Formats: sequence, C-alpha cells, structure tokens
Amino acid sequence: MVTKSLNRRSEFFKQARKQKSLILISIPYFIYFFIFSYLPLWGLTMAFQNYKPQLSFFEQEWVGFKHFQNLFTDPDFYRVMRNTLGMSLINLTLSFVTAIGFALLLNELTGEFYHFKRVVQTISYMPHFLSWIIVCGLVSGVLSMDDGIINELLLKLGLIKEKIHFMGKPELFWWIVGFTNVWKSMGWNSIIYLAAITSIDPCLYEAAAIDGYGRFGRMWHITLPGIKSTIIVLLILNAGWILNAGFEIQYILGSNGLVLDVSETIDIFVLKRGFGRSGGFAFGTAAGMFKTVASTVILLLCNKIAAWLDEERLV
Amino acid sequence: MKKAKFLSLLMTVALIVAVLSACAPLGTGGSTGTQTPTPGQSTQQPGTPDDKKPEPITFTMFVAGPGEAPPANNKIIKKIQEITGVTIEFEFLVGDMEQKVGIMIASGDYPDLIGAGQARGRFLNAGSFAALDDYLPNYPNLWKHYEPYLDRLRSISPDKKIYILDIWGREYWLNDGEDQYYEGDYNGPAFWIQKDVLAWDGYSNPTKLDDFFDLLERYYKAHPTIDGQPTLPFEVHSQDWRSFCLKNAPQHLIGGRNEGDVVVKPDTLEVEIYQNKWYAKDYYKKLNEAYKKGLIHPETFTRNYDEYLKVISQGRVLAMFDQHWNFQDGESVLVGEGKYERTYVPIGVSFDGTPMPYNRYKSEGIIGGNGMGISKTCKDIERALQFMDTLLEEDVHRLMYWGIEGEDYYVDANGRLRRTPEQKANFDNPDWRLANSGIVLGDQFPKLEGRYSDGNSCSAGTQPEERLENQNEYDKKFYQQYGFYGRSDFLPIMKDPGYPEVWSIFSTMEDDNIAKPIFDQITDLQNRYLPGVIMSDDFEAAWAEYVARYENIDYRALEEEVERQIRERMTIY
Repeated sequence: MVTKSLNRRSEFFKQARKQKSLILISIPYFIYFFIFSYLPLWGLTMAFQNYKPQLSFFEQEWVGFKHFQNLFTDPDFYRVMRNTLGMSLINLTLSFVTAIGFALLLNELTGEFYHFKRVVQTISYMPHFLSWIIVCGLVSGVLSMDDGIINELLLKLGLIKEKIHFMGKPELFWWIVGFTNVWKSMGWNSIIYLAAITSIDPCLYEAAAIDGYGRFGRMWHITLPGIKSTIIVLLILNAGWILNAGFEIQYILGSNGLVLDVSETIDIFVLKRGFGRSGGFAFGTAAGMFKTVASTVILLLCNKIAAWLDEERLV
Repeated sequence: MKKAKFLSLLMTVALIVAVLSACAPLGTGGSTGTQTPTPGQSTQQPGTPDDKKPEPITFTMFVAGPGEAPPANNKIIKKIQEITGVTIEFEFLVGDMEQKVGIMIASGDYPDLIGAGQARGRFLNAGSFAALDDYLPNYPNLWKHYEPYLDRLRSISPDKKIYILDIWGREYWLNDGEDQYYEGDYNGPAFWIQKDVLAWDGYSNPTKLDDFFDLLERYYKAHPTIDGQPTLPFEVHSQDWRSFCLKNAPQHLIGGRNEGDVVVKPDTLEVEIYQNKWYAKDYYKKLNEAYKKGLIHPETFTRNYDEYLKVISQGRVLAMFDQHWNFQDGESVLVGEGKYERTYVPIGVSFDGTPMPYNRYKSEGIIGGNGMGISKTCKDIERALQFMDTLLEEDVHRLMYWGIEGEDYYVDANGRLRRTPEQKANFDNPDWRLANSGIVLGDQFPKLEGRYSDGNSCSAGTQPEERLENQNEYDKKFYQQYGFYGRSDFLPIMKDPGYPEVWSIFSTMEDDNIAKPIFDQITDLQNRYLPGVIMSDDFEAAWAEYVARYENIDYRALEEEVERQIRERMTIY
C-alpha cells in the first residue's frame, strides 16, 4: 500500500483477489485465534466488576480498579511474585547452563561413540514426556525419609548423621523445583542446540585444530560462538515466560503448610484466589491480567535489549 | 487512515459477537432456572403404581467428596435401574474441592445432581440449585421425610428456599425401648487409636492427653516397627480442607461439639475463635513435645491424602486426630486383611482425664444443608425427585442397604434380617461392596436411618443381633474387656445444644458476608503456621509469633457475626 491513489478501495480488492488462495488458507487460523485467543479476552471485563456468576453481564456491578488496588496492597501478592521470580531465575539459569553444556558434551562424542551418543540422547529426553504428576511422585519418593534413595545414599556415604526432611524445608524447595526441571527437560532442551551445532561449518574445526586448539578451545571458540544467536533467541523467548515459573510441581509438592510460603507461584495464587475462595473470580481475573500484561512488557523489553546489543530479534 | 477504520470495524464486530456469545449460556441457564413446576403434570404421577416400565434416563451427579463410582454391572444398582429406569453417572471429587467447584460454577456447566458436601455454600451462593419447595409435597416419601424440618432446609439458603436435601440425620424410631441398640457406630472426630495399643496396655482408656501420648510413647518403644515398617505413633494430616485433622482437636479437649473453627459457650451462646486460646496452645505444645520425642514423623505434614491413607492401611499408624469417615478407606483395607487389632477406636481425650463426648450427641433431626441438590440445569427435575422418592421406599431401601434376600441376607423365623458370617465378610470388603452393594448409591441420596417399620435396622451394619454374633473374634473379646457394645461406647453422649453445628453456618455464609474474608485469612494463617509451630525448636517463640499474626486479623468481627447467626437459627430449631 505504497501508492496513495484515489481509488484505494479497488486497489485493495484487486490485491485481495490476487491473494485469494492465501486469504483462504489463513481463514481457519483466523477463526481459530479469534475463538480461542480473542473471544476469551472478553472475560477480562470481570476484573472490573464485582462479578457474580449467577447474574448476567448487564446486571453486574462495575467497580473500576478496586480489584487491582486490592491486588497491589495484598502482602501475599508480593510473596508469590518473589517466589515466581526466584524459581524462574533458578529454572532459567539451570536449564540454560545444563542444556547447553549437555549439548556441547554430546557433540564431542563422535566416531566410535556415535551409537552411545544416540542412546544417551534418547534416554535424556525421555523424562520430557512424563506428566508432572508422575515426576512429582518420583521426586517425593526419591527424597522421602521413609526409604528414599537420596537419604539412604547420603546416610550410607556418611555425609549426613540423620535423614533430611527434604520436602519440609522451605530453603530447599526452590532448588528441588530447579533440579527437577533440569532432570525433566535438559535432554529435550539440548536438541535445539545440537541442531544448531550441526550447522557450523566443519572447516572451522579443522582450522582451529591446525591452529593448535584442543577440545575445550574448539568448544569455546568455535561451537559456542556458532550457536550464540540461537542461545539469544531462546533466552529472549524464555525471558517472556519469566512469570511462568511453573504450576504443577509447586502445586503438587508444595501444598503443605511447611513450604507454602515459598512454593506458591502467581499461577497458583490466581487459581486459589479465583476459584478457591467464594467471590474471587474477579480478583483472580485481575491477578491473571496483571501477569499477562507484565509478561508482554518483559518480552518487549528483552527484545529491545537484544536489538540494542545488535543481536537476533523476534519482532 | 483507512486501515485503522477497518480495524475498528472488525473490533466492533468482534465485540458484538463476544457479547452475544457471552450472554447466550446465561440466558438459557436463567430460563430453566425460573421454570415453574406444574404439579400434576409430571409424566409419572407420584404415588400411583406404574403400569408400564419407566423410560430409561441417565442423570449425571457430582459428589464434592471422596468416593469411587460403582461399576455398571453392580447387581443392586442394576436392579434399581430396572425399577426406576434411572442410571446415575457419578463423578467423585478428585483433588482440591474449592477449585473444582469454582470452575464448575464459573462455567455454569453443572451435572444434573450435586452432592454438595462441604461446598454447599459455594453452590448455594452461585444459585446452582433448583428450588424444590413446590415440588416436595408431590412426593409422599420425600415429603414424609422432610416435612418436619422444612424450616431447617430453608434456613441455610440466601433466599430461604429449599435447595439442599439433607442425606443424613433423618432417623426413624419405633420407641419400643430398644432403639438405642440400633444406633450406628460413631463416625466423627476423636483421637482414634489402634485397638492393639490399648490391649497391650491392659485394655486401658487413656482419656488424659498426657496419658494418651505417654501410652503412644511406651508402645512405640516396645514396637519400633510394625510388619517390618517403621511405626508412626501419631499422624497429623494437614492437606487442604482436610486440615481439620490438624486444627479441630482443641475444641473437643474442653468438651465442645464439632463446631469447626469456633467454640460456643452453651449457656450464653458466646462465640470464640479458639486457635489462639490457651487450650489450643496446650494442645500444640503437647504435639511439639511429641514431635521432639519422635512420636510425630516430620513427613506427616508433607504427606498428601493418598499417602496418608496408605500409611494407615499399612497398619503402622498408632493414633491420630481425625474423623472416622476421613480415614475409613485406609482402615477398611486392614479389615479386609483381617488385621482387626490394627483398626481404631475413638478416645474422648481431655486435659484433666474427664472423658469428653467429642461429637457424640443425640441429634434431633437433620442439620440443614448436609446433603445433595438438583442443579438448575437438570434435565428432568421431576424424574430425579421421583427417583429419590423411590429410594425411600422400604423395599428399595432394603435392597440398597441389605442386598438381595437369599444372596446377601436371610430372614429368620422371627422376621429378623440376618446375615451369615460369609455374607458379612463379603460386605466388609470394600471392593466387594463397590461391585455388589447399593450403599455407594444410597449414600449419596436421602436415606432412612434408624429402623424400618418391621423393627429391623435400616442398614445391615447396625442390626443388633448381628453386631453381637457376627463381630469378629478379636473385636468381641476386645469390647468384652471394656463391657462395651461397640466403639461408640468409648465416648459419653451429650445433649443436642439446639443449634446447628457452626461449620454448617460457615459453609453456607453468603459471599459478601463480612465474616467471609476474615475466615479465609484465619484458615490461611492456621494452615501455614501450625505445622511450623509443632515442629519448632523453640515452641514459646513460635507460638508467640503465630499469635501476634493472629492479632492482626479482625477475628472479633467474625465472632460477633457467627453469634448473631446462631441466635437467628435458634429460633428455627
């Protein structure tokens, strides 16, 4: 639409006719997103009402920003934000470092170790397909005081005198979540880095070898710079998810009074306040809306920073 | 800009579509909700015998409590299907109740029937139920069942209509001087202890709190493992709404009934929150001591409900504060395995040793709100009521709670219903019961309690002859030692104080009641802090911090509001 002719309307239809098939192809997606992504936005009006489910939309009482005020003055809100950000940062750091490290190590397995590499890779991403409820069952079993393998192991090795109550220690909870995430998703996350590594020109490795670089030198100077752009794109993507510290694991493992203070994430907060208390729909919606808006802002911000660093960008 | 204009047009269209689609379900929901019943127009005239077979119909039912749906080929349920034409598709609660119910309410997607359980208030306030006031008189059995208590049924709803029909508490007695032998076993809150612990101690009855824990300690020292697994002397379950196991003991220790989160002074009706009072402190201090002695395993606070039932079913939990129905599924595994010495009896523990009644009181009729309702979206309210009416027929009721004559019980020369030991053993096995008995069905609907018109007990378990004869050898010997008839006798009996249990007031409070947010805060604080208090190294400091936080909550407003509501209900009772 560069030309500003008088007959823009016909211009528009002309172009539309030309792209007829494209428009047809996009219609199902348009309908899909309209129904599942745009229509539900209407529900956000709840956040500004004293919402009661038995009343129709026109009977609802409008209360402006009351629920948001309540949200920002609620001490629990700051607690769940702290938990969310804390666990997110731990997850983000651990999962990045381990996935990249794992990919680098796997990449070094060549030649006769090729089959071993495939086996390791397959096994390592299997936990990704387990549901959280099973993973949490495993975690609480492994960390149990009754016959949990970790406690038995530490005891037998003489590292501890008496069994540790892992699931009841608030200071350990974030790390349990972090390392469980690593176990569950490290293999899966490393696939994308392995794919990126294969696109690096093998000549570079040969040149580096001739220049006298060892394995670690090649990793540091060839492989890592080679996948730098992938790393940054994924970092931006993940940063947008920073308020999604997870839900299932905290909910399943952290719902007892001992660790509740450190386990509740914003998602659990929204669920508990929204559905768990009577009359909480509106407040829950307000909290959920805050999360969405904040996530969008963070994503755009990261994108800006990437642009500023002159790196790959998303938008 | 043309583009912007087009966009705004699109948004307008989107908005209109959204409004229409958002209103549609509410509109239809409203119209079925306001449907007025037309007595006499029902397809099946109640009270008249049916000539033709009733049309098959399936009702969905959500039950806001634990349970397992019976298999489709359950012989009794099949028979009842033949009689009534009704199939019930159960969905029992899995996971967190408040959230499940909240989602149900938000979506407006109700099943036909709702076992309201503890979620009664949420459903009532959301207007989920159809009002039954105009229907009830058309159904003779239901009317006879509820007619004396209509006020109580109405008292719990915001607009004073009948929405929930109590499924427990309506008892039928013959007043022939033998009624007391037909009372069911005590099922409520108490300190429950394994029979073997008492037997080992020479059949003692440790009603003093200190003695109780002292006994646990001695037994634990003598039996560090049970069946090869470490013994767990005292369990304190604290997950979600089941945290009553953690919190509710203090009210009973000073002799109160189960009111939930408050204590009511019987003479003045004054209401007080007790989780910050001396008797709560003394109790938690005792638990703290027990924890330090290793009598309470730290994992008790991190066990979820399934794990809690698991350790009970392993027979290695010596005692806990709980309500019997809450741990019954674990205990029935022990019964199935014949480990009667590992099953439990209630002890009326108090601070000074006076046996306390806990929640054993002679109830005078239904409470109101303790039952099930018919959702406003139910596909056929009249058929549903007709079904419930039929279940109250003595013949049908006997089918559910006794079984089929000749298969599950027999009738002796005196017209008494009896069971052989095998028949009883079958019945005691939860798996058998699920597949072959109607109890799973009957438990969710209005039922007869007490005695049938022919003098027999309304359910097999409370037939006196049977309780004496078919009691397993272990239990027979055990109760003989005490001179007791059954486990209920461990608790003294108290008078009905004349107002409903206060938890029922809490659970039906309206959404905008001032006590509601305070109640939420208190619950939250207790669930969050009490486990830590019990596990603390320095109890006094932990308790002081907890109480200080308590003082930040305006709980006095809640006490006043509850007191006001109790006085209001006194006039109905």
